[in-house]
Amino acid sequence: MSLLSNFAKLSLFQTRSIHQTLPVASSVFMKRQKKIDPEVAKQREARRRKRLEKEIRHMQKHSKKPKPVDELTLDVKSAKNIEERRRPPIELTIEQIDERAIALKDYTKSRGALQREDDAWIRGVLTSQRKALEELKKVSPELYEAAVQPATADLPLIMHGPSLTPPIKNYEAPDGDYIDTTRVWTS
Amino acid sequence: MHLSARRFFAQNAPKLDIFASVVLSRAPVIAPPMSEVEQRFQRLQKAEEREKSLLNDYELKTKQDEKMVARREQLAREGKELSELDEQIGVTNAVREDEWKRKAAELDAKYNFSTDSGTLDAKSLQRLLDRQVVLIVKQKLGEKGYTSPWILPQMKHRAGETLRQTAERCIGEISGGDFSASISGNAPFAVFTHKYPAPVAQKTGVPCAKIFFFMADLAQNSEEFSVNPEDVSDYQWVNREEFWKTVPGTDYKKAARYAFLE
Repeated sequence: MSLLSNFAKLSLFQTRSIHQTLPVASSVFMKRQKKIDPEVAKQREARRRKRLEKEIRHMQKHSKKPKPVDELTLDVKSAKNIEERRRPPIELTIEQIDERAIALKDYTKSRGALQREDDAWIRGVLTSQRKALEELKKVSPELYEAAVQPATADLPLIMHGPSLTPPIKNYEAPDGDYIDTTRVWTS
Repeated sequence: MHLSARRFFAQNAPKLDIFASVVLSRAPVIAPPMSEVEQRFQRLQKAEEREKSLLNDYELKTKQDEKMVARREQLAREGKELSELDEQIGVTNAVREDEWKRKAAELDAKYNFSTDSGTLDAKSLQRLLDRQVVLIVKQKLGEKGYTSPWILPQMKHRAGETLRQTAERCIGEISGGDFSASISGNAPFAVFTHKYPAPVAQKTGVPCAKIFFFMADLAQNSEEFSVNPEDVSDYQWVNREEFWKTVPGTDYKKAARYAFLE
């Protein structure tokens, strides 16, 4: 070191760089390192590692948890006495099995027929509309142009399907508070 | 090119009247009753689901109740103290069910759910709630002393408006009352060519009229519907079968048959 400083005196620039770096390491603004017992340090390190590991585990457990599907989760309260809840087994007679199979088949057929009916209607009305537009084109090209413009104002079309009972006229809803019990899954 | 094409059409187009006709329909308000096949399938499906299911809390309590009531009867026969057991039993499910039935009957009586809407007269919007019904009219069509047979409401096209606008004007002019309707689409879904009788055609020089049909849906909150007596002398709401029975002209009905979707 002394040799180095002796050499350093020879060059003006070198002196500066060497002499200035040394005081920086122990600047007055730096906190002075406390001397710690290596045993304690080891312990601290271990504790910190443990804590980090725990945090990682926690994050892995909770980070990408999908929201539960209520229908698929086990209802713990009801599952406790599940044996009590079993119904007595029922032996179906051959006739009953047949009846069910036939009913299913009939139902499937009826749905198929319904679908074909709908399909025929759609095809029919499309043909009918095409024909009408062709006629319109012959009669008046201007009206045809107006007719083939998309009617964006009509969309989206929202209809509420038929209910089982008609709406009650002059129905007065009973008083009450609206409490939203929907669970929120954002965090 | 466009201009010349237009001129060509204007010169060579056959002279004819253009009408827009509106099929104003009210969608079914209530679901139609299930067919026999559907009913049977539903009944059997429910039975199967029940067989495969587990007992729920309510059914467990019913079972428990039955046991308790049986025990109570036994104790009563032996002449023992019952007050403690009664406290344990509390309100049985049988009692609850009776209460619910009573309330349901009350509601039924109050609101009269089972009204037969088939008996209402043909002018009522509340008739045939489980069917699609459309409006047919006897129209005067702006001619003195003339009334059309039963037809779908129609209106002659005026220069300068689109066919859809004619259809909208048609709804506006034939009707009154508190209702709203919306026409679906700019394009007509069907066309019908009406040939005028020979004397009329000779007099006016127009051999036929093209009637373009549009569909329109009555909004669901429409309460009342009435017609403008200056243009319409009579009207009724009819379902598909009644439409075929009432309206004359097979070709006319065939042209408009896609108005019914059921």
